[in-house]
Amino acid sequence: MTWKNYFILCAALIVLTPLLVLFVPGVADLFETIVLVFLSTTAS
Amino acid sequence: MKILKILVQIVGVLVVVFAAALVTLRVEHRNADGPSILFPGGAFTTGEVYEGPEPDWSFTDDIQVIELQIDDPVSSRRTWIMESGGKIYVPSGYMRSFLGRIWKDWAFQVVEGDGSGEIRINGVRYPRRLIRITGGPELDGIVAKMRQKYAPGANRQMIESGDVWVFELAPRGD
Repeated sequence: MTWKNYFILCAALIVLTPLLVLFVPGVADLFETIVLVFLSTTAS
Repeated sequence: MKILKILVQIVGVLVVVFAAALVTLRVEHRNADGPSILFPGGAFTTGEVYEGPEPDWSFTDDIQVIELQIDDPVSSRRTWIMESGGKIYVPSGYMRSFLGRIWKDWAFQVVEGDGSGEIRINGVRYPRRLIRITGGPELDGIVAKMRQKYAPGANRQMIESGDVWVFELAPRGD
């Protein structure tokens, strides 16, 4: 992918990701569960 | 070089998505009525405030996670709960790790403040005062309950060394 298209993709993701997290049921919980598992296994 | 570029772009996308989700959830929950799974929330605004004699806390043996609010500064999070000897306690782990110092900032705030707070269990709010327990005979019962409910490997050493902090949720006595 060209860098121009790549940065356009990143900008789109920055807009889309919050919308997904806020309005699609389950996405937020899934994300939080994954992060919680990661923290629990690496924090000690 | 092409493979490296692709790898860098994939990692970059993952970082962007992760960061955007993290910031969104952190901001969304900051002033919410209670916490989410991972992110701290704001003050409890719903739920009946319990008024009456000290309850029989043995019912918490069947409850894995409760909501805990501290008052200074106001924030809330989910936490484990252990009942022992008629009293209730909450733990905070990873206290001597770098990640723990960031993740468990509430415990440091409790110790530095007056310890006033509130718990919410099944929609009922109980005003409490958090008092850190660092040793003593009551630790045996607390550790036994922690092993039974959550962490079979828990022991007194973890608490006495400061790896795990334990707070008694004492009546507020306002």
